[in-house]
Amino acid sequence: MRKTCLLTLVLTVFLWGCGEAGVESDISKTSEIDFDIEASTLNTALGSTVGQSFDFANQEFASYVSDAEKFTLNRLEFEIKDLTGAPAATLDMEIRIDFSNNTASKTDGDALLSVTNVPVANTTSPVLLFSTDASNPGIANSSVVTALEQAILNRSTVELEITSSKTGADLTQDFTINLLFDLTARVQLD
Amino acid sequence: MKSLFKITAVSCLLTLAVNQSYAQIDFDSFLEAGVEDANRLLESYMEPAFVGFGIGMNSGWYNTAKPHKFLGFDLNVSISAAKVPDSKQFFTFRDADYNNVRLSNPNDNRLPTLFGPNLGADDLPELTFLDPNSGQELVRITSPTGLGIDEDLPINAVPVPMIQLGVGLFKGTEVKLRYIPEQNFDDNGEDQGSVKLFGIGVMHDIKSILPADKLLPFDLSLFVGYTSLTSNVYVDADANQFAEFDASAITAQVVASKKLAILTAFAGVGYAKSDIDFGLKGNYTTETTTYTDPINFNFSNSGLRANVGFRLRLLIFNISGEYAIQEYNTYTLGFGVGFR
Repeated sequence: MRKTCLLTLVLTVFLWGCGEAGVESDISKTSEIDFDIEASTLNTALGSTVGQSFDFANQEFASYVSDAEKFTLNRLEFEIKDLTGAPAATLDMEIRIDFSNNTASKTDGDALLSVTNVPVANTTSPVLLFSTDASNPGIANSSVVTALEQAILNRSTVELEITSSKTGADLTQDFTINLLFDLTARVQLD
Repeated sequence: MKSLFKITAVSCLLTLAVNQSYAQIDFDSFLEAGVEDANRLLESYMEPAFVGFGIGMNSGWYNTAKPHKFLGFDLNVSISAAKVPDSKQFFTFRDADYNNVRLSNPNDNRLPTLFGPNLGADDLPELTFLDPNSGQELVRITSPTGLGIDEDLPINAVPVPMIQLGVGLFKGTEVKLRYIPEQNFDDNGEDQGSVKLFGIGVMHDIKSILPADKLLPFDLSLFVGYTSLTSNVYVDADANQFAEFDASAITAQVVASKKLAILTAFAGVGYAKSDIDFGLKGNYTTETTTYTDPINFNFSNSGLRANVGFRLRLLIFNISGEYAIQEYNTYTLGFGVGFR
């Protein structure tokens, strides 16, 4: 490494100037995960469970995860899309997270939240399920939220499961439930 | 993925090896919002570093108004510190100035510059980057923080080191040279970039041409100096991405000095101008577009410059100090050896 004395001097001054605090930054993204729901499967009493694996860290935060010191789930929202018509039926939904990513079973995770009597209609804007906003915190299980944040920090793939059942007979069209996870990675650069 | 912090630090301080960890913030995210916005944001953020560097380059030229005698010389190293005004520690972000970047909270619009305080993520305004095509949110990132230099140093300033040789010629004329041949840096065998410096100054005794020169109890000279510095620093050598930094500065001053035993006091007044060109070269690929040479901007600064200083001469050794009043007031400390 070849440097002049002057450049070394500048380097010293600059490193001194940077101090020991390092640099902290937040990077926030919203991850959209779609679940295709077949209307015909909702007719059973237990409803329909669909699941899919997702690696938040590497799919959404690959550039930052190595320097991330924590992840925070800011909001969880859902949308209903791709529905034809305007049925009067309502949905009950339970969202579970399987931290073992055991895709063999779709009902083995920890319950994150459940909602009932959701109108089955295309949403015009996302519907809030959970928020870190104290004035509107939502309904999620905080320990599962914490576990999810830790799993992301650990770069673990998790399985997200939605179990939905309907009330009302006029829902015959397939549709999509879109979960929106708004996450923040706090990055610390020393 | 390249670094905003690395680019800035490199460009203004010419040291690639400043801190590799600053290479982690995703510069590509800024480009997602388009070249125009990325240029505007970086320009505002880096302004104090560039302006300060240009101003600092005009410092440290002299420590007396008396030119060397024929073949007398001095070799001097100095470091100047162009103090960043408090008003330049932040800049105001206006949504209307950007196409695809917005404040997440419109009321939180004071963003630190590179020479602002080093704030934690909770205290930094958040910027929302929008897809130029769809207008949908791509990512939200806290604004770049400042370096917080004055948290560890007594002064929040842009450092500018310099080395120069002064040689006496004839008839009260002295030429000063600043020169660093092209220096290539490498880090564990990896090419990191290069820097080179050239400057020339001429000091001429004008006291002798005044009609009452014998009556003036001090030395009086005219000085003109020009400095040019060029640096190329790889942001990613493998991808042929690099930052290009060209700085030039010129000053013309009338200088007076008075020698009292080992102490020489001097003062000058004149004009100074500096130009800085910065470019980020190479191809940078976002999710949707590849940009070639995406960042280019220029800073110019000019105005009156007045300075006062001293020199202590101990045998052949010189210790000097200078304070210059200009847009960024500048302190200079020098050390050297001189003869005749």
